[in-house]
Amino acid sequence: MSLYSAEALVLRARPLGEADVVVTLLTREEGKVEAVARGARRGRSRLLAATQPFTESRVMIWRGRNMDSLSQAEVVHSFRGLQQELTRLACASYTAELLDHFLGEREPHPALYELWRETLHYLSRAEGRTPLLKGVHVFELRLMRILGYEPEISRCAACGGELGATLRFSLGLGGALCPQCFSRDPGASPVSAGTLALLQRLADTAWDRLHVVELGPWAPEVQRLLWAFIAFRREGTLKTREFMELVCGAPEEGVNNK
Amino acid sequence: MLYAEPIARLIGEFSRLPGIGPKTAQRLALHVVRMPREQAQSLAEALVAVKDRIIHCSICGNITENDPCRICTDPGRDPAILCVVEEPKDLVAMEKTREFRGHYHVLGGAISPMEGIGPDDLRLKELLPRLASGEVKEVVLATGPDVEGEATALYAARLIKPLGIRVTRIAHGLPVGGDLDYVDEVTLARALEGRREI
Ligand SMILES: [Zn+2]
Ligand SMILES: [Zn+2]
Repeated sequence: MSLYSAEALVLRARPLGEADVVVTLLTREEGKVEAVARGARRGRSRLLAATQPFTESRVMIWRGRNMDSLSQAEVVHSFRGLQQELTRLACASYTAELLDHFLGEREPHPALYELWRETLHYLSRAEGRTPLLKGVHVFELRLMRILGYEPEISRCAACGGELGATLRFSLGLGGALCPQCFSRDPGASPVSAGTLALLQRLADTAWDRLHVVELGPWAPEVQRLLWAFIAFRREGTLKTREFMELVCGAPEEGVNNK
Repeated sequence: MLYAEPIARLIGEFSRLPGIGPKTAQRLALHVVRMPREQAQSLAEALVAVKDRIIHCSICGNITENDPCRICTDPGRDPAILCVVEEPKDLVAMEKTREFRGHYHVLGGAISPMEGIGPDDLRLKELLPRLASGEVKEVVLATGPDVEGEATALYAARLIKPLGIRVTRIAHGLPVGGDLDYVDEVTLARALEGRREI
């Protein structure tokens, strides 16, 4: 047994027995870690707040033979804004599930930790459906980039050449194709230049400048393409996506509403 | 197989219960072996009776022996105020306060996107018809103070508010008898939000 300290964000939490909670943490130091927080559900436990999903804490963890256990936790940031709007909560849940889906245990990715922290900061303050959706897509793109799955959108994914005016997107080859390479993947689907340009802007724009990026008419195609890309990289259904669509999907009274 | 089949089977059944690990299951099973026969019989009958006689109230969703339940049929309770809770145990907790004299609506859980539990898996669709008559003037959302409880409350509020009914959320308080500096910042911030004049 040994004790280690980490900066941690809570990916998910589930009750165990009468009083315990099993948390899945994204730590900066160790990557994804599962730990039991003993007694966390007893009213007075200081561990309780630190085991709420999305909470950022400084934690001390005992490395156990079978399972790690959370010994101390100090909340650094609770991202309370997420719990004030259903849409924010739904988007944040989706980002959490996506991380959980792609990450194996104990694969340290400090950049992913930083990405998720920034994403939660952004989502906890975003007002309205469009800004939230942008945040989700930025997260998706940068997650892919950090994991080495970044779609090739600035040149041909097959030959590396310039992209023409007519474009296709190949899931298998991992990006856009020039007309000469269409035959390399007959399953590649047509994609508009506007969509690729928007993907590029989303991938490159800093969080605090994201408001200048407009989704415009390409939003549905960007979403379809990203979701197809994610599904191609890692099989399995994402439960939170349905909820996110249910909550954010229906265009409500006036877009960009609160 | 270290144990005779009937014991192994009982251990297996116990270990399927929430919060009971293999060691506890073994201890419970061996305890049953030592029990007088009448006591074991009574335990078995109690288990079956719960399954045979306990149903869900068709109005509020609480567990009950009679449908509608005792609370839904009580003329002394105020039909203008409806309290939404996650589970029957939360209803019991509210009742223990003796502060609430309205009616209840038990959802049977909370929205948990990560676990794939959506609004359709809860008794939310049964809630709206109860509000249609106009008798209910206020809905108190008493779901848990965790992420699932907040998500559920926000979703329910979204459904109810367009009906023009007052929607309130129970305040998140501080534990009685505790020290302020021992309370985490989230609880304290929420308690501050829910402050009132004295
Ligand atoms: Zn090419
Ligand atoms: Zn009832």
